[in-house]
Amino acid sequence: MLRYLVQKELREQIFSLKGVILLTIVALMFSGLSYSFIGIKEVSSFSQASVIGTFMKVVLGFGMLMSIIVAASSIASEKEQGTLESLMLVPMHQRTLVAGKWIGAMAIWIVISIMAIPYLLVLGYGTGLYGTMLLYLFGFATLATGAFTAVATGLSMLVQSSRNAVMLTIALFLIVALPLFMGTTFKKTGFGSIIDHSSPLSTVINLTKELFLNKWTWGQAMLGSLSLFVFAVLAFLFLRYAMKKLSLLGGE
Amino acid sequence: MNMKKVLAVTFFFLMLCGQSVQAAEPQTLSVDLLSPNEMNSAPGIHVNVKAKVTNQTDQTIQDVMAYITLGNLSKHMTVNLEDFSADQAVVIGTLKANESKTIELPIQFVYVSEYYLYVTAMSSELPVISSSQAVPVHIVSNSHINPTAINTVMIGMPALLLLIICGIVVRRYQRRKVI
Repeated sequence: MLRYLVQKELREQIFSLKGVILLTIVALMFSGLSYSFIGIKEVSSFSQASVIGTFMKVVLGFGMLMSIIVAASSIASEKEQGTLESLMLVPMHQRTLVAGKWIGAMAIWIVISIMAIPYLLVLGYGTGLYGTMLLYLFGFATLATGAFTAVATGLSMLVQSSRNAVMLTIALFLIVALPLFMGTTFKKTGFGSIIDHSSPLSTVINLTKELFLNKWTWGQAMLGSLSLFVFAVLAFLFLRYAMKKLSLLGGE
Repeated sequence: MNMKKVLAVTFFFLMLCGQSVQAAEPQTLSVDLLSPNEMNSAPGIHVNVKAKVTNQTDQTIQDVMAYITLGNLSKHMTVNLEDFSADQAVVIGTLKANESKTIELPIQFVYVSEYYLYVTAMSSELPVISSSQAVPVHIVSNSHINPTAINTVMIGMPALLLLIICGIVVRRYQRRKVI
């Protein structure tokens, strides 16, 4: 049943015309960014490690945002369309339904990550960082995206309309992304410092510099990502809590 | 008459000298850049810039701090040192009369360019700031990026996806035709 659900999600989100157009836009953006690394004088002064780090941040930002938006609307939209009831009448565990939705949203991240690999191979050529790039992309970045997608799926179950679920998810994303918009002074003092050190998104983004430029070992990276691991545990606990609260009430 | 002119010129000259002597007050702080001397390296290198800050006055100066400044000669601008992890000043604190302190300021060069690096010291008590001599820093690219490979991927990937879009559209069209 899980396999059927995942296939359905993949058909709708990735192998549909809408999905491929979205992926083409992402590919065009990756291409534009790659071109700027060799074609624009100012950007071409970046070191190769900085180039990889910058590219990774863009992959993470786009992939994560797309996955969480899809996750946020996944169950809430079923409620709105009145199809959740029929889905829940199918003899399958509620957990299977939620897992199917979560995997479907995560598939977007996985496809975007796979699409990024050829770009990373040419941008990271000769640096000896291929292993680190894969560890980052399919380890830390996937964990962060998985955790955020779990929160978005949870919100989608608790909120009755997909619009509200998406809005709440984006608001949450912006809160954890706050350090990215803050100036250096604010980021290093008081409230800004607290958010910067506790934000899982900040952790996973700062990790690009530590891994690619400062050549952190895997152990150092694990220790430096404690807030990310804690967030991942909390995110899946929240998903479990939301699953228990999933009701058959129709959408708004 | 000539004597008057000579006196006037001499007086004017002395006035000028007096002014320049007044302008060249003894420095309150001096900064000596101990290391590095000159740098040629690839991006990514960490350097601990060593500098000696001396209080040249006979009085204690409080709240002294020192920081790095990096001038980019290629772009004619000063560099935002946040990217170089060197935006934080080192707080030296109080410097007694004629006391010196050696400080270390870490910096990581991340971008390729020609720079001039120097250290500046200042105190909240004094309006006068002092900078060290500048050292040239050449950060040279060690990039292995192959533009041809980049061009291939950046054209190939969207082209492949566009082909898939065309495939989907054609398939849909054929299905409708059958129905």
